Amino acid sequence: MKIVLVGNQNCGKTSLFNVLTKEHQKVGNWPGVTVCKRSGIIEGSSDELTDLPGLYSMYAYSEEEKITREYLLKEEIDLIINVIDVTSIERSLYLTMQLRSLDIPLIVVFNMIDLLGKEGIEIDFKKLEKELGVKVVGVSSLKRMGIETLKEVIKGSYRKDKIYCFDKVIEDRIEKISERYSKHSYFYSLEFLEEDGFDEVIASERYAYIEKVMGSCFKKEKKKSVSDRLDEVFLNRWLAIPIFVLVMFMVFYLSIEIGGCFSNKIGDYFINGCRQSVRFFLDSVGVSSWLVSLVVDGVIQGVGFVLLFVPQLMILFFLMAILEMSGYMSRIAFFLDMLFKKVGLSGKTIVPFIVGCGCSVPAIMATRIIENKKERERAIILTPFIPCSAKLPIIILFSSYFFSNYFALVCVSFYVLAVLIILALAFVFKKYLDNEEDTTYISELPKYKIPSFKYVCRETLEKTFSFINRAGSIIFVSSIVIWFLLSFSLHFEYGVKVEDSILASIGKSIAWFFYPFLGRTSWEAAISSLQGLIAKEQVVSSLSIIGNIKNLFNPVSAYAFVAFNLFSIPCMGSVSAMKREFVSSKKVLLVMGVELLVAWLIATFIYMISILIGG
Amino acid sequence: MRLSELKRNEKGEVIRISNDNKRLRRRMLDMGVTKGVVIKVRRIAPLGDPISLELRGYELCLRKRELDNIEVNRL
Repeated sequence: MKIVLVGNQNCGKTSLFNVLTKEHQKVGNWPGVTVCKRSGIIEGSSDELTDLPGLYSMYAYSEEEKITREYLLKEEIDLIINVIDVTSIERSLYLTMQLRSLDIPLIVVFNMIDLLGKEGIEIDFKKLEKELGVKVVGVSSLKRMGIETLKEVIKGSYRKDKIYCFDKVIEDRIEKISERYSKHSYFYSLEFLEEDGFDEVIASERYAYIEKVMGSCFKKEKKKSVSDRLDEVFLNRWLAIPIFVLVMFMVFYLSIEIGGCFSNKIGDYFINGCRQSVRFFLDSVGVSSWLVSLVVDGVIQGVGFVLLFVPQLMILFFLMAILEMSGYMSRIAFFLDMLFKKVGLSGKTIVPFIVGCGCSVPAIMATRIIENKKERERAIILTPFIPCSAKLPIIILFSSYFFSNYFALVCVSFYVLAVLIILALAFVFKKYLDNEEDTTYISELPKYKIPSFKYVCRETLEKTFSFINRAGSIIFVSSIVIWFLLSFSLHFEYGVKVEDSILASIGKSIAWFFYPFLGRTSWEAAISSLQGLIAKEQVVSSLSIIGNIKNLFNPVSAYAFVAFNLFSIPCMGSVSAMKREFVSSKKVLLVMGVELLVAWLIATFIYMISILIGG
Repeated sequence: MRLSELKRNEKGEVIRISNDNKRLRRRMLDMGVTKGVVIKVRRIAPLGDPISLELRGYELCLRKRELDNIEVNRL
């Protein structure tokens, strides 16, 4: 049996999906966490469950909503589970009314019923079933309430009783038109009428019916919710932006400082210790010297060096998960919209930007929540400029080597720089590439939710494992390749001087490009930036194998070099994500060219200015 | 009067929605901005725009320009 989960954005579909299928998909408290569909098998059955992106109405407004609409109308589906968030029932039931009009069986599930008491809501489920004409179940995915009942209901038979939502005029018309359609005739007839100037009447009558249902099946105490009280502070006219800046500052500062305590102090010590003991062991069992060097100087150095940054990243992932699940992201979008509008972006762009601090790939997909096509394209282009977690090691490494006194501040300064560049670029796009056009902002402000500790930890661990996984795969292979290219000359002699190695020869051929912001020709820097295209953490891994970072750079060129790597062409993963969203290779190539140019200009500018000021 | 003219914490009942942007108008209807609904101006963003409205038991954010197109009776 093919079952789909449908509901408003942010209604808790994905947590229910996770509970039913025992899978671990990402959950969050901002509209659009699920931007593409995912499937799993319901535990204890052979039914396939698909989690579709959230939508408010079948009249799709954004890309993610279109995905769901198309899926519902085109696919053969045996059952729709309509998930409803108990904190905004009235609006959620609007979609229920639309889903009812499809030729697909329907079950309505009220999620988060553990919050009912807190919200002061009482629901008469029996009556509600009668009014909606379909089976209604109350569950809490977090507390695992009602899950077994839901599974039983899924196995049972479904009824859909006729309800009278529209007045006779509309119903008569529907009857006349409905013969034209072979499938979902009620739905398509309604849609035809809506297009034909009846949109307001139909929406009003749907809501009127819902109001009636609300009146007879729900009781709600009037009380000021915790969410409201929190917003008095977080959305306060004077405090909102300072708090936001402070929150973001703390996220990075804490990750870098606390995480840094672990890795900086024990880092070099640990790697050198490992190298020495492994070298000793391999020597003692008589392994040939080149293999020892491959393992010790290549793999342990390259992979180990990247793994040193795991503590920082874990704290970053942890704090980001809290931020994402609390509902604060929608607030940021709300109060930054005005600023973003000025540079031609939607306030919602903040969502991909914040997700992008973790990884650009999901962030680029998250741009699907932006309705306007041009705003969305700009968001896709600008998102990779946010330093992702793989770029954080570059920032930390160089800041700790060259700015040890102001270490954390210098780290954070790169994020500030990124924001300034994004705003400047967005402004340029708006000013010179497009004329003014009408853009809109329409968004729900969901209630705050206390992040579930379990989900926060799971999310943190998953992201951390994916980082470690990359270190064990991409970085591992790259480290071996680098070691080979570094140990052999163009004539395949082993044990040549580093300057005569194949790697050096390749690096020297492109080193000129880096001269303007390094103040010298450095094939080492050139080659590691090149490798950053595979994965950004490879930049530090590669430099650590080649060695002697402190001699290659001075503070000024180090800063410029980091800036170059942050803003130039992102890793292959992001480039292909970009291609997926743009569907045009030409556009992607153009964007890559622009990124390379922008990064080069910024790095050179930083270097030149510092030289001018500092002499 | 226009919905944009209401001050914070004031309520109005929607009389007419006149919007040239057909898609946006439709979306607003879907989000519950229909004739007769009572809307409360909940919050104004720190930079003056957008504005958060309370209707049908939830909070909806719209830009001021969109509120210009909604006619209300102050309550």
